[in-house]
Parts: sequence; structure tokens; C-alpha cells
Amino acid sequence: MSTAVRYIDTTLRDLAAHPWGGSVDTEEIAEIAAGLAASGAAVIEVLDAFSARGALEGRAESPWDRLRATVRAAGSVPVGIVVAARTLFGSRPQDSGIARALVLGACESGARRVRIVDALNQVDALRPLAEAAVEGGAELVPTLMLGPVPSADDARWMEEARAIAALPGASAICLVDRAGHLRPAELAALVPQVIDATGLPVEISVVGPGALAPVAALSAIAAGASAVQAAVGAAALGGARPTVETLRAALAGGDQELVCDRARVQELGATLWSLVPADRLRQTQVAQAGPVLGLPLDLAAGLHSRLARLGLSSRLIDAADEAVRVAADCGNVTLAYPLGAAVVAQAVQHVIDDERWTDIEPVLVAAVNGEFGPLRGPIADAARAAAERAGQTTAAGADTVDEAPAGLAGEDRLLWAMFPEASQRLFDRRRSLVDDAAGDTAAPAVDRALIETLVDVVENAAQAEVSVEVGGARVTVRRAGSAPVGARPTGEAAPAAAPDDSLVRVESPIVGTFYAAPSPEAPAFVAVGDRVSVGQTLCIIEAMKIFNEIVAESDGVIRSIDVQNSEAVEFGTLLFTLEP
Amino acid sequence: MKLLVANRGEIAVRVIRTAREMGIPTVAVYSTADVDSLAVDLADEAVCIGPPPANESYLVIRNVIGAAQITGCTAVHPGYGFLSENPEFARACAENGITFVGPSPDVMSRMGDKVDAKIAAQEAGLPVLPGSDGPVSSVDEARAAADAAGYPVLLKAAAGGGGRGMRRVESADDLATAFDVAQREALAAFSDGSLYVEKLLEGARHVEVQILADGLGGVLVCGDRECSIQRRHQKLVEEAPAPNLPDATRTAMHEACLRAAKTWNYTSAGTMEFLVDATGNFYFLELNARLQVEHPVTELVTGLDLVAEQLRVAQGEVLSLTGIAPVNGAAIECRINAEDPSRDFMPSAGPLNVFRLALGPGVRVDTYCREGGVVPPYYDSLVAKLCVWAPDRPHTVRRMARALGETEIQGVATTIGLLRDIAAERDFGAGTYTTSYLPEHVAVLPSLSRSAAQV
Repeated sequence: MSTAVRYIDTTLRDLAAHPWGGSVDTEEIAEIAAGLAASGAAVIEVLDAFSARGALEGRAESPWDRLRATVRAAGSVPVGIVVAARTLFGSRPQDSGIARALVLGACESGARRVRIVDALNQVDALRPLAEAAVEGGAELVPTLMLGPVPSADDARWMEEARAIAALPGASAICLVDRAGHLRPAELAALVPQVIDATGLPVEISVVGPGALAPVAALSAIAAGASAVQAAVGAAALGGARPTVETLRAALAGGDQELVCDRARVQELGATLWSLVPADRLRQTQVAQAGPVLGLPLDLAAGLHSRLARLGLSSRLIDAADEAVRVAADCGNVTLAYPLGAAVVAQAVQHVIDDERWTDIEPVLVAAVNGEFGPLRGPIADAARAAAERAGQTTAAGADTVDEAPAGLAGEDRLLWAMFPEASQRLFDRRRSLVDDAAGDTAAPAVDRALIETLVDVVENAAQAEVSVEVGGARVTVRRAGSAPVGARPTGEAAPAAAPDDSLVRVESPIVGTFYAAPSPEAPAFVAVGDRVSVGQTLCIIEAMKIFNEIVAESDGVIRSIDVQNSEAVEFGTLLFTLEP
Repeated sequence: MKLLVANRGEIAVRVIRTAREMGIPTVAVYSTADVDSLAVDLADEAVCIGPPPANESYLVIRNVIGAAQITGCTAVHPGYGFLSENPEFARACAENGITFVGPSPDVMSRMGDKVDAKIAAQEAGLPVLPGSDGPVSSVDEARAAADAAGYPVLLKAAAGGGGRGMRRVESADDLATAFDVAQREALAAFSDGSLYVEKLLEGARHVEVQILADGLGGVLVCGDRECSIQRRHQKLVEEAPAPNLPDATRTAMHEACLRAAKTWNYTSAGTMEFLVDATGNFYFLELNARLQVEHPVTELVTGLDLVAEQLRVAQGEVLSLTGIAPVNGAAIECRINAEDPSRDFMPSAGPLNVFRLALGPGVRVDTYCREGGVVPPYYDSLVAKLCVWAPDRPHTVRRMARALGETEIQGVATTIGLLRDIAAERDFGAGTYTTSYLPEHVAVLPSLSRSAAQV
């Protein structure tokens, strides 16, 4: 008889995380959540800092809507969130009132588990979150964030574990190693000590380079961890996080067994491949297959891509080493959210400037000034001097949320406090949806698939026009002046595209690369035949790594798309023609 | 290397020519006004970056970088003007993995601010003009500095250039009004109203020293140029070497420039501008952190190709020759501008119905114009640079007169008539002229008063 190991699912967090999250929308998240619930996940974690930001920045969707959609789809399987002390989901410090409101709001939206985490394992910082989780009736799981410092056998880990496990209501303790800092054997030694010291069951979460993560996770399970975080297939950070499939296969027939439905997991895994952005797979694979850098893998992937864009790929190891030095200079901070990204950004700046500490990331100023709590080591003089030059960081929370625009209440107010800029896009989008609905109540909705079918018919048929009536709306698809190259019979000259005065030419206002869709996997912003309205995004033109949205300046129907995806365009290049 | 030339006109053509000789593929950028230009024809590829106004095309960093990115350029030559001394542009290049052919953004930032540049010059041991130790914040401060330096003084915009934001002040009585006007002008032109005070040297000569540096310790001083013939602080005639410059002054200037370039760890081509008074004292004015319009006269007397050297340095090569470059013969550049000298140099855009250039020994013409083309109204008025070289200065002046005589442009008003007058004038022939040359010689330069129709 084998012991059951609970599988805590991270697929949704990994899939929708900033900066890749833009390719997955809430509907897809909900669909996957249903699949995960059927696969045997004990808990589905859906929101954390990265996936909340991914929803907002990538798609201008509300993280709360995402949570609720997941809760609905997951049925009886509990859905969880991961909240960081102080900064919650954002990057600015928030006061305990906002922290409490966020946790209670999530519980009201159906979150049944709240995992709380502080980069430096400060129990006082975690307390308001813990109290709110208990008050909201959710299961409380505090996190012990493991780092390279102090060493694995240092007694301080046990002190920190004991302190956070003593938070009233804690039902388990989650051990997180985000960069494979601890060798599998060290992790295995730590697990029984934590169980002994805290009296709580241990959940294990490992991300690491070079396929170390599954090995470490399996060692921890063998040493007594009773739950493990894993994701399905491609979502598992390109293999840096253990996949459900791997853990299940590795444990099968042994003393422990991962509770999941093999067939359902495999089915889900197959569909996930198409949802993971190619960029993300490539970047994580680079980090995964590359040298062991001592950085969390997502940071390593980001570092790699940032350096590559600067033409500094050869400095990858230098930058990673520098990141470790920067962390050491800042009192040995853990490379965990939100400090990790700041440490890497700082390191990249040092590599670019070839000089250290001429400037400093704002988050690090806060860390150096002790705003994240006592640090594990001394602060280097240069880092302290840089922080002093930078002056005071913006004070936390209460007064900033008071500046929230009028009319924002409840969860919108929380979003605004954490993401003042990105949340604005969500509010704007919502407002325009409301306006559209108010203005277009008479217009029946026409299925986009239907239009596409009609376009296909017209393109491949002799007639130049097809009309159908659906639900009171008449849809006419008329062939434009010239057919797409692929559809033109060979030998026949293209009909000269006579300039048509009635058509509006949409020309590129800038120089760059044309993208028809927000990401390679996403559908195009517009297709021929689409009706567009003023201000609607037609395409993106990228220059200098900035994605410039080109919007319609008049209402109309797209008659032609005159450039190919990822084609270079210059000023004045014809992009679209619109029929007003 | 694949080179994007972020400029237009003759300098774009000039840079593309050298790149072609070096086998470097080139990309031109152009506004819709320049679609038929010579630079677009000569470059391997061309990208339209905007409508005619420069602030919507040649000055739009995003579009220039975008053009480099879509064509796969690895380097950008900024020419002069436009983005050439914009540190933000240089930084944007670096951030996008594109080599900026020029000095580092930090040096550019520092030298772009005249006050900082003056302080940097003092640190590097270059003599500077008496005046305020930095920007003055009030009329009273300006008055104190002016009193100490002695009148007349110049009020100058710290961010200025090209004669804008600059006011001559004859006496303490005029200071308050001049301060007001100069500040407003500076604010309007550069969004920065900081002014500083500098003693105005009357009858001084404008002499500049060309340097090349590889950023790896190698500096080459490529001789000097005399640029005193100016109208409204815009140069009209330049020559190399500066005539009648005492040997001791020349040697001291060159050596000071060599030291300063090393102190600043300068990279690429640059020019240090000086005022030289009648007794041979010289005062640092500013550093132009770019290739200059008048660089061909230096090329003619040194045999160097400054653009080629810039491109080599940008590729990380060291200068093969360092120290003080030997100079041979004398060269003069005449700026043929589409403007009317008899009407206060009013710009004159239009069609080039007749456009005939001088040829023959010792003549080099840098231009983007062709007969039947146009001078667009959107940009500066420089049409062509007629440069002549001969083994000695008297011969060069005769060659200048000969070449100007062969040059014929019809359709737009030009400075050719005035340049011919200068070539024939005695003080110019003797090489004894100063920055006051044009106002002092109105009587013997008939083109300054004759109507355009008579030219």
C-alpha cells in the first residue's frame, strides 16, 4: 500500500505569467481549469504576482474575473492564490489594510486556499495576510522561501520555519526553492527537520535548471513531503518545474504515489502545447539547457533574452554571477519576488555600464533601507551609498490608494493600488465595452466564423459576392480588387488594383516590423471583412522593442490587408484599406 | 558592418561614398521630400522614415532605429546636424545593439552643454574665455560676470548653437533687455533658458582643430582650420591650415587638443573650436562631437578620409597614425548655399534649372544636387561644398576663383556671387581676416548689396 502524494497544480500560474501571459485569455484559463480538476489536482493555484500582472498587462483582463472563472470551472477542487507580503501582486509596497482587503476579496470570489510568501520569510510581514485568510475561511499555507544563503544546514532556516508555521491557522508549510539552490540531498535532509520543527505537513515547490527540479522534488517526496507543486506538460516552464507526468511516472509502483488521472493529464498536456507561447518555450529551453546560473529560471530566461537584445549574449555568465554578487551586496536577499527581478535588472545595468552601483533599482533601495525586514547579511558600502543617493523610496499604501480615481471601488481599487497603469487599460476596456453595448443594442451579433467561411467561399468561387441572412442581419462578402496571390489562377494577370477613392488607406506612420496579432499564437487583430471602429487596434508595429498599436482612425470594414505578418514597413507603407 | 546613414543631403552622399569604397553595405533613410535624392539612389537600400518636416522624419529616433532594425544594420552614421549630437539617440543605438559612429553618449551629453563643456575644458587644461563660471540665474549675476570680464560680452544659451539664443551686449545699460530676449529665445529654441556670460573678443579669428581618437588611447590631431568668414555665426568659407597662425600658437593649440582628447577619453572624430586673438592667445569655445561640414579641407591637406577613420574606429580598430598628422598644401571650402546674400541671406528653395559644377585639377565638390532636381524648403540651405586644393595658399585662392567662375546654378539664389567677390578680395587673398570680415568688407563685396537679379 503506497502513500498518496497530493499534487498542487501550477499550470495556470505558469501558463499565464507575465510577460508571456498575453496569449492566454480567461476563457482558455477556465477550460484548462476544468481539465485540471478532472485530472486529480488537489489544489489549483491560479493567481500569483506574475499571472495577475499577465492578465492585466497582457490582455487587460481582471485577475478577479480569472479567479472566479477558474473557481466555476474547477467545481469541487479548491482553487488557490499565492500572495506576497508587502507588495501583494504588484511591485509597490501596500499597507496591511489593502493586504487584508485583497485576501478577503479573493476568498469571497471563491479562493479556498491562500498561500502566503515573503522573500525574506518575515513572519510579521506575513501576519496580516494570514489573519485575513483565516477570517475568509480559506486554507492557509505559509511559504518558507529557500535561498543560497545561509547554507542548507544553518539553524536559521528552522527558526524561520518555526516562526511562520506558528501563524494561527497554518495547515501546511510550503518549501520553495526557485533556482535549484539546494542540492536534492540537502533538500531531502531539510524536509524531515521542517516536519519535526513545525509539526506541519510539508509541500514542496522546486524550479531549477538542467532537469534538477524533478530530481529534487522526488528526493523531497522520498524524505516525507506530502504534497508537491507541478504543472502539466508544456506549461511547466519548459521542464524547469517538475511535470505532473514525470512525477507520476517516477513514483508509480513505489512507496508513494502521485494522485492524478494519467489519461486526463496526458490529454490536457497535448492541448497545452498549442497554448504555450513559442517565445516562452524557446527562452526557458535556453535557460534550461544552458549553464547552471544560480538564478530562478524565469529570471535566467529573461536575463538571457535581455542580453541577447543588447547584443551581449556572451556576457550571460558574467551577468548571472553579477546578479549573485548584487544579491550578496544587498544583505544576501533571496532572489524571490519582488527582489529577484530587481537584482537581475541591477546586475544587467552593471554589466552594460561596466561599473557597479552608479544607480540602483528602487526596489533594492527599499530592501537596503530595511523596508523588507532584517537582511541575512551585511550591506555592501557601494550599495548603501547608491541607495542614499537615490533618496527615499515612495512610502507605502494608504495614501496612494486614497488617490485612486473616483468611482473605483472594491477590487478595482485594489487593482489600481497595485497596478496604477496597467489597471487603467482594464477600466478603459470595460468602459468601451459598456459603451459599445449601449450603442449597438440593435445590431445583432454576427459570428466571426461565419464571415470567415463566407470569405473562403468568395475567394475560391467564381462569383465575386455572397450574401446571407442570419438572425435578421444581412452579411455580404464582396471580393476586393485583387484576390490573394495564393488564390489567383496561374497565368492570369492580376487585375490592376484601380485606386478606389471610396476606400480609406491606412498607412504606416512609423518604421518597424508589422504584426497582425498581439502574439504569434493569438488571432489577428482584424481580418478582411471585419468591421472596425475608431480607436480599435488594427495591428502592431514594433520598433526599438516598443510595440506601437496602430488604431483605426475611422469606422469601416477592412477591405484588404496589404502586408504580411512580420514584414518590415516604412513610413507611408499601405497596411490596410478600409471601406467607410 | 552594415551602415545606416541617418542624414540627408550632401553629407549622406559623402558617407555612403566612403562606405561603398570600403565595401560596407549602406541603407539611406529619407523623408517623402527626399524620395528622389542622390543618397537614396546611391545607397544599397533606402527606408522612408516620415513626412518632410525634420521633426517628423530625420529627428524621430524611433523611426531611424526602426529603419536600422528592419534592414539589419549594425551601425549608424549620424552625419552632422539632426541626431548627430543627440546623446539620447546614441543611447538608443546602444540599447538596440547598433553601433553609433561617433563619441560616447556621456561625452556628447557633457559637451552638448556649453557650460559643462567649458568646465571640462578647464579640467583638461584648455584656456577658456573670461566670463561666468556656469549659468547665471539672474540679470544681477550676469551683470557681475560681465563687469568682471569687461564689455562687450556675449550672452549665450547653454544649450545653444547656430547663433540662436546669443546676444551681444555693448554695455551694462543694455544687459537687462538683452538678458530677457536671449533667455526667451533660448527657451523657445532649446526648451532650456540657461544663459552664461562670455567676453566678446573683437577682431578675433575662429580657428578649430580636427581630432580623431580611437578610444583606446590613440589620438590624432589632423591639423587646424580657419572658419572666420561667417554670416550670423554660420560659416561660409573655411580653409586648412589656418593662414598666418604663428607657429608657437599652432603647436600649443595642437598639443593642448591632443592632451584634452586623451583626458576626455574621446572616441571618433571631433572638432575643438577656439577663438584666437591678435596676439596669438587662444581660448576654447566648444567641442563639436561629430563630423563637421568643413571636414573636406582637412581631408585635402592630410590625405585622410575622416569618414573611413570613423568607421574603422567604430569597428574597434586602433588608429594607425597618432600624434600630430603632417599637413600638405592648402585647401579652401566654399559653401554654396541656396540663399540670397543681398537680402540678408534669405533661404531660397526651388528647382535647379541649371546646375553646372566646376571640374579640373584640385577641385572636389560634395553635393546631393543634380540639374533638374530641387532644393526642398524643409532643410538647411547647403547645396554644394566646392573645395579646392593646391600646394600653397596663393595658388589655392586662384584655383578657388577659377572653380567658382566655372560654377553655374540657376533657379535658386545662391552664395556663388559673394564667394567670387571674396575670392577676389585683397584681405582674403592675404589671409588676414577675422570674424568681423563680412561686415567690415560690405563695400568691397558687391554681392552683399546687389539685388539677386543682377547676380
